[in-house]
Amino acid sequence: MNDMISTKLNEILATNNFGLLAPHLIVSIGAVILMLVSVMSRNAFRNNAVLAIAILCAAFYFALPRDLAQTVTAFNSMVLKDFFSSVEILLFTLTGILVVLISHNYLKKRSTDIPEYYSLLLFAISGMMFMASSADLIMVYIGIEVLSVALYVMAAIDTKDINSTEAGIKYFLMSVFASAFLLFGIAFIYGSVGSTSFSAIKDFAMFNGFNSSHFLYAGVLLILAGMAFKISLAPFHLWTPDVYQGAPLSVTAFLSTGPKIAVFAFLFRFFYQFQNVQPYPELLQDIVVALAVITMIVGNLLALNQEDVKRMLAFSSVTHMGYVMTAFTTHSTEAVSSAMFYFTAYIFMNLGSFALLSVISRDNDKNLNVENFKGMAAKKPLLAFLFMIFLLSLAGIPPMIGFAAKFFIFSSVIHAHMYLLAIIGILNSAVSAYYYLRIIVNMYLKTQNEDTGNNFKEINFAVPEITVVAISFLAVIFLGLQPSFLIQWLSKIVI
Amino acid sequence: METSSLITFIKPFVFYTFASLAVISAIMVIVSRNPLNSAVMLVLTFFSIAAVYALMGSEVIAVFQILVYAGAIMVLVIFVIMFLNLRPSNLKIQFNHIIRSGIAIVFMLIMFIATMSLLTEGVPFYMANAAKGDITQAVLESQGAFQLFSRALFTEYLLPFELTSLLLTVAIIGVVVLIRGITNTVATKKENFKTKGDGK
Amino acid sequence: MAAGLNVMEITQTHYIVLSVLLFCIGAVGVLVRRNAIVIFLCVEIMLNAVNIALVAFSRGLDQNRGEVFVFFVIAVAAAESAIGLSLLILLYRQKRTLDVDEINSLKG
Repeated sequence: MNDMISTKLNEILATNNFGLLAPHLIVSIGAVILMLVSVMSRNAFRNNAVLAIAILCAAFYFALPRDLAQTVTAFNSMVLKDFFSSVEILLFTLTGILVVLISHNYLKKRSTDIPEYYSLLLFAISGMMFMASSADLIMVYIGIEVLSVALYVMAAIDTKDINSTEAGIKYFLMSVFASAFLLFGIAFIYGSVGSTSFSAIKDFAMFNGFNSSHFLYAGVLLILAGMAFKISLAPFHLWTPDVYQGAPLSVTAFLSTGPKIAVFAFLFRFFYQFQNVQPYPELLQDIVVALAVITMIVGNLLALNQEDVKRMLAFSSVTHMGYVMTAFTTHSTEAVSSAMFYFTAYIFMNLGSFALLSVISRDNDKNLNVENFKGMAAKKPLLAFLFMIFLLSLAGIPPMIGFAAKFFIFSSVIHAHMYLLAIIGILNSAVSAYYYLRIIVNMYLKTQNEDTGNNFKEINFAVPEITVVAISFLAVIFLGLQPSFLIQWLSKIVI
Repeated sequence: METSSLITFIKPFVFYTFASLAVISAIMVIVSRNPLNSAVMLVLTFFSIAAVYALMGSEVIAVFQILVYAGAIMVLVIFVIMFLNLRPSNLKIQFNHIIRSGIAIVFMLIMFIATMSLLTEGVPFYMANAAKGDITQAVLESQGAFQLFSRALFTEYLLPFELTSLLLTVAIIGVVVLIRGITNTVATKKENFKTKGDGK
Repeated sequence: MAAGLNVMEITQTHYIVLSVLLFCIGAVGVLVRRNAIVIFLCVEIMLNAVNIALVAFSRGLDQNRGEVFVFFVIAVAAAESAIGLSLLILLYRQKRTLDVDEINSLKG
């Protein structure tokens, strides 16, 4: 008996390739090391930031794809590695590095310099990585829970501020509720397929079709609902603004980029394997299209009259996920590469603007009102100019990267002959320009009321923020002008 | 032969007893005013569910259910409720509450009826095309349920198992961070109080 | 109700009906109750409902994949409850309430 177990174990450990999980292992072990450093080192907060960046850079290096066409599975086909998962992991590490740089001075200013923050951030990133490279619903579930548990604590990390605690509680309650739906969906799929691995589910759907098995259908819909909660697609978005406003700004920056990209990685991988199922389930397609349309419209309408910039960016992130969702409806490989391009663009423009906001923010982000940006251009011309560039890019105005990203998204929709959806998306994009331009108008054309506004005197623009802003600025401009090489590289993605 | 026919005869009664106990105590969880009562009722639900697991022939999960859920999680919850000394929530009836509750109940009723209508053929019908395994009840009895379970856990499901350890580490760090925050807040408050007292 | 439902012979259908019933009770509780700790308890009911379904499918399919999954779900629930309860204590220390309707400092 023992021999049998050891041969089986050897099989599991031999047929896999630990190198395949190198970025995951580096980040997970690094997170544990950071935990130990935060106990032992005296200057742990700064040391951890430096270490976290080093760990993420190492993970970035090991995640660089060597062989683009290769797909390897390991650990009893629990995880796989292909070009898509590599690109996702690169995006996660990039997000992580930028968020660490945004966090350091900001949290210090807020006197929330808790060294374990970086450890939690790395754990969240490793959860995202496992999600993106998982080939089994069990792995997806545990990965998303590692991510979520780390995020609950990160949202509530400022224990002195009631708003941060409220954000943590709200995120926790909504997220576990969503997890229950996700799990119920997984249970139904398991019942009808007899396995939780993606390839088995795909084979089952190809062989039996969707309509023969109500359980599979119900399971897929429940998983979609649970995931829609997690990435706050309308009408499951109600928790988003409160959480984004209450959480510390650096956590909001992370929440609005990383986890959403990770969940979309799962959605693309899981739902795109059904694309050749005949007949394709009409109801599922209708629901996905409806989610995309409602998400774009609701996100925009709610962002229009927000006074708090953090809250406005929260709703605008809902809208941005709506644009990606329009590409998701098309079931083409072009959609995958355009979505990946969109995420790259979104990381740079979103984190760039959050870096600038973290510099401006005071009093636990209570001064980030649209009114407070009046007259900023006169006092801080460079800051105002950079912020304007990022906002214009978010609004999708050429020649910034946001325009190129939206162009690829909507052209993939048009190539799939879904003209109405593309028109709705473009109209929404035009509407969204209003609330971005409102801040720009306030910065450049309005004069400041001395009593209420920021005086912009205590602004301390230090090296980490300058790095983030410089990287993001260069990416936004250069990738905006020369998007072709990146999109050509990404178009090699096959799911 | 005698015992097995007895078991098949008793099985439905055991199932209906514990299933109805689980459902009734679950309803009690959401209708009782005192959070402590809710928690105690939930413990009862968990025990009944454990009995249902045992009835299904899954002793492993029945044991985990009692050890982890009823034993650890619920003790923690009850401890926190008593620690916070929560008063019974006054179920003050508000109009928007009624509307919201009505919508919730109708929605869930629709979901329940929809699921039931899916089950007209009986669940085994929908599982007919699924891939069957080879761990039948007979295999479980001859080889030992715990042994088969642990072997699967440490070979086929090694990676999720390790990832779970990562999750527990995250939870530990998270709790440490949050609870240290609580003690710090209390400490600062006491400090402020002291300085104020000195000022007088 | 269900054609495959023979009252005296316990099949997978019975377990799944129990599971769906408990899941709906839990979901109603989450939507109706306003006390954060009771909401958390209701989510635990929902997770248990899922576990019943997983074990029932697992036994019905003669596999142990579902049971292993339940083991992971229980582990995740333990981790989540630790975090959730410490968040609730933190909230109670600051607000002296666990009513989610009163958690509304954040309004845009």
